[in-house]
Amino acid sequence: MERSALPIELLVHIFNFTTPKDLSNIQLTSKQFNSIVENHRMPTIKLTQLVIEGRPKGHIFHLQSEDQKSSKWGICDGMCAEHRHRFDLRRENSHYIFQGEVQEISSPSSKLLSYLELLMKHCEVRDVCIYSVVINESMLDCLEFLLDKKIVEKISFKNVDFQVENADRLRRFFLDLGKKCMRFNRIHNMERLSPVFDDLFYRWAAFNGCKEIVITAERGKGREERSFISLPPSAVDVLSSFSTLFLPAVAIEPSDLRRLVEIILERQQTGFDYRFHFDTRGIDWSIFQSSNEYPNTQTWMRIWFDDRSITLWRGEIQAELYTRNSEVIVLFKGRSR
Amino acid sequence: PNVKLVTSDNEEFVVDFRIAKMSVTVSRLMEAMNMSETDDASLLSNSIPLPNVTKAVMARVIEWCEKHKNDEPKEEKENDKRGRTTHVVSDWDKEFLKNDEFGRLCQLMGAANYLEIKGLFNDISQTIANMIHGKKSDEIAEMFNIHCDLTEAEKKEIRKKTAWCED
Repeated sequence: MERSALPIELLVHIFNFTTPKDLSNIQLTSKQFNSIVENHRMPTIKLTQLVIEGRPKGHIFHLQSEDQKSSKWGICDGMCAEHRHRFDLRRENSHYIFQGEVQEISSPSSKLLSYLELLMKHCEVRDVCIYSVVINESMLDCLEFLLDKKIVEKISFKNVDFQVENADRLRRFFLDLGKKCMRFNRIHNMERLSPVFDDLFYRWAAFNGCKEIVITAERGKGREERSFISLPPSAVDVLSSFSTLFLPAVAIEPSDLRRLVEIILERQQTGFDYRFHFDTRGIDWSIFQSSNEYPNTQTWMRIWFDDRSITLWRGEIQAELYTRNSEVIVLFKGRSR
Repeated sequence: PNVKLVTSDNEEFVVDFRIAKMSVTVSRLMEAMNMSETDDASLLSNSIPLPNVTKAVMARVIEWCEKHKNDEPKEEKENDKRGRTTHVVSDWDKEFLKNDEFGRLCQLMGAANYLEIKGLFNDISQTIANMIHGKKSDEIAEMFNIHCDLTEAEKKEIRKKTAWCED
């Protein structure tokens, strides 16, 4: 049976029924078959979460299936098979992990981008988590590539260190990031970032339909989370359009906090639970005491600040502040309608 | 009512109207020739030419269609968890296809494709994919009767690219 007897469209159809491993063997049979696999949309693995985790001198990918039970695999930044052999990478829960000192794998490089390109060709990744990674220009190339993929819905960061010299590029990146749901944890080098975390950043996030912003700071053992960024006053108006914000590392000025509450109350979008987490340490909550001029509300509205909350009840103006030990302090009580 | 089908080697097959309708291609041709189930004259006076199907292959296609003529139309499951297309080949179909050598399967697949008989087409695709499964590249090359024209450097590059999909 000559292969010419089966037209390419039939081969493509057959190959669609094969596994990725079989496909890789098919690619090795001839230039023609390699080209068929390369140029046609072949089966993808539905691994929805991609974790890019920085290691002392390299990076590793973990991929997790939607049910978190199967199909995990990983590659390092470099020639995977060779590194696995050279650095005694062993497979655990079917993804590769580093064992021992890894000396020769470089930090983010152009190789990482080529691996990501390959990965995105074969996997339907919706959720990307970046852990312990130095974000330099090369890594930013990778992130921009991922951002550009429509299928990626969420990008999260944890313990990342931004070392990008080009502030304009970084700014553009964050603005684009607003298109995805953002989660930041333990971001380093905030001094470099502060110019981009201005009101425009939040504005873009809101404009692009981002529903949730999370920015947290490193919490040392036995220590409180530290704040490392202040909310720009101009961002208050934008943030009031979110119903959930988890920004415990973002300090807010008392006057801005009060304005935020006032904007939400004025809007009278009732029936909502608003959950705002800011770094509110040091805030004198009595700022709300004199705020007895909030407009009447038609139904309940609850605004949470960490372990404190302000609640407005139906038909009357009544704000209450709850403390951690459940002690209730009524800060103000307005007139009945 | 019966429909006459004529193969590339001028063999005439007279098949039940329901069987003829299982092929999208034949259905379209009957429509174009104004052949309808209720019009015996149109069925008797016309035959459907099938220049891309030989007598031997047509006989196999009709055998498959006979078995499946009363099947409910089923929804194909597009993708499994690993993203590949999945198609459940029934025990009868496995038995039907198991003695076909690879070359005959390819001919049958070509006919199923031309006649647009989706069930048979997918049965064969899945059967061939199962034959490929677990085979090394040289075994696959032998199966498709192809000579590997890749250099060692090209193979190395492919292996590097596909290292991620090790089982």
